[in-house]
Amino acid sequence: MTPAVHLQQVQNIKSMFTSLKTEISKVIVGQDDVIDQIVVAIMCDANALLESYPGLGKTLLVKTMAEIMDLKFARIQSTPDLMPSDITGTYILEEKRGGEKEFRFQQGPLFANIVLADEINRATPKTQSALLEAMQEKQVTVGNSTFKLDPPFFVLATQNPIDQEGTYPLPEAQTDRFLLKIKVDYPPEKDELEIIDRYTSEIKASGVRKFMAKDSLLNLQKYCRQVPISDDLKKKVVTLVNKTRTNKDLIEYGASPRASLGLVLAAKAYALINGRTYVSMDDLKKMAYPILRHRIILSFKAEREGKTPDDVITQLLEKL
Amino acid sequence: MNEIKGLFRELWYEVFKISFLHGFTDSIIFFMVALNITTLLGLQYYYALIASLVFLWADVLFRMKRTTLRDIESKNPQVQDILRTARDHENSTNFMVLAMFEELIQKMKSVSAGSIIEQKNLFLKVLLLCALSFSIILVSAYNIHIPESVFNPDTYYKWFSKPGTERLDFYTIEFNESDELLYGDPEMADLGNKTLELHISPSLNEMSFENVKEPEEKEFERGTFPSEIAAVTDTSSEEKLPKESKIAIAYNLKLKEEET
Repeated sequence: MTPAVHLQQVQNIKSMFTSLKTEISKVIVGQDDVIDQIVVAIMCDANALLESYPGLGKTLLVKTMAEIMDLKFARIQSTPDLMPSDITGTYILEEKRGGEKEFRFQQGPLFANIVLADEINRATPKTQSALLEAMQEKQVTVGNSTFKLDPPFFVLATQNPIDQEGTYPLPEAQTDRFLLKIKVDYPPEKDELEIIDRYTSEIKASGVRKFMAKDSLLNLQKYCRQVPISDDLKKKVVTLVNKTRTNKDLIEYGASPRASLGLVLAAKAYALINGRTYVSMDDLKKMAYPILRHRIILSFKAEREGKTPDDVITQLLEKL
Repeated sequence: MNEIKGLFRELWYEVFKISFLHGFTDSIIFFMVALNITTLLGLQYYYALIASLVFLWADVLFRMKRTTLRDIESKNPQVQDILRTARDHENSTNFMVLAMFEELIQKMKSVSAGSIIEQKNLFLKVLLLCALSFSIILVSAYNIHIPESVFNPDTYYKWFSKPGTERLDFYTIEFNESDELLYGDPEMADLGNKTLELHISPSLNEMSFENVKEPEEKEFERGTFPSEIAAVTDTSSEEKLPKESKIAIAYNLKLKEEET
């Protein structure tokens, strides 16, 4: 029998992700599910929308991840007066030595590997659209010129579920572009005590080490797509997404085929980061929530009953 | 990849063996039930045998078709999802698929045929077989047969019909004939009760049955036989010897005399 060389490499990948989480835990206390889901988004070469109340460490988490992965990080604080050119970059008039003047493109914060778009719903629809082009096409158009963004490129946008006044909620077509909607909950008491101990005793540097090169990340993205999934599970994914469209009792508008694609891809990534060589039903169940929760609009009846999208997804999964 | 194909072949062979085992026990049960029925009906045993062979073939085929990788996975959680995934990617060769094949080969070492056998089911079948064997012995030992009336629908009709609503007799409906035509001369039914007087004409035979006397009792003294029972001696065997034998005897006697 041939030695299990490939399997050993998969185990090495798992060890690498375990180390990644260990490094992140030096800065972030708890939030294991959130970390997993952000890693899944990165592995899928996709974007994620983080939803949480302020002060839960979203920015710190994303910044730490960028640091560990040795990726270029940029942060955009969205405000109503933020212009598209503020994020894409713009042409500036530059004078050369001979007095000759020419326009030179000054790159905006989008020209990074990980872009944190804080409170995206505060930006105007025009600016949101500029961001969404970058997310979907991995390119930026300024004037008549189009610039390709360097891979890997992810946008991690955040939004606040409260304080909706003066905001521009993302339309459904735009939220669909985010592979995952990650909910960041308040930490449990034990973790909160740990946060207090860690950040109130002394000021110290994070001390995280970089151990994942950009090339390794691109390779991992390639492996992620190679993770096999059985035909039975693919059918289940399609059935689940179809149910979001046909169950009019609970859901007014269901998910698009992009949700099916996203669910399979996210399940593959989740399997890989957990050191499995194939997708299991548990992977699908785990990923169904962040994939579907922003892609379904609940019916009036479901809302009146006080149901959340997660409750409805649980119901659909039970019937699967 | 060949290892995986071999693994699946081996797996299906195991499934066949288990299907056959279950099919075989099922068909024995079927045979015993059928044998009981044929015995009760007084039919030949080979009807049960042929039916059981057909049942065995159909049952094994049905079980083979019904058994899926999902069933094997559900009985062996360590290979949950991976078996179906491997089957669907049998011909792929990318890095992750190869890693999965290696993982599957490792995991299949812990999968035994025993885990696929429904042991509880098999135990119940064995119990059923014992009960059926016992019933066959009983039926044969006491020569139990189902009476023909069991198969006559009239038997059951009478149970459920109200008084006065009995079904009309077949003959009454079909034939509107007189009783005499159907059953013959009614006097014939009394024939057995009548005295037969038989007269034989003496002109044809000297014997008259009317003059036959009753047998008489006769006493005999011990050792003295009546003359009617006396035996007559037969002639000696020598007297019946053929002529050639007599010559041979005379010749032998003469030779003896000369010797002395």
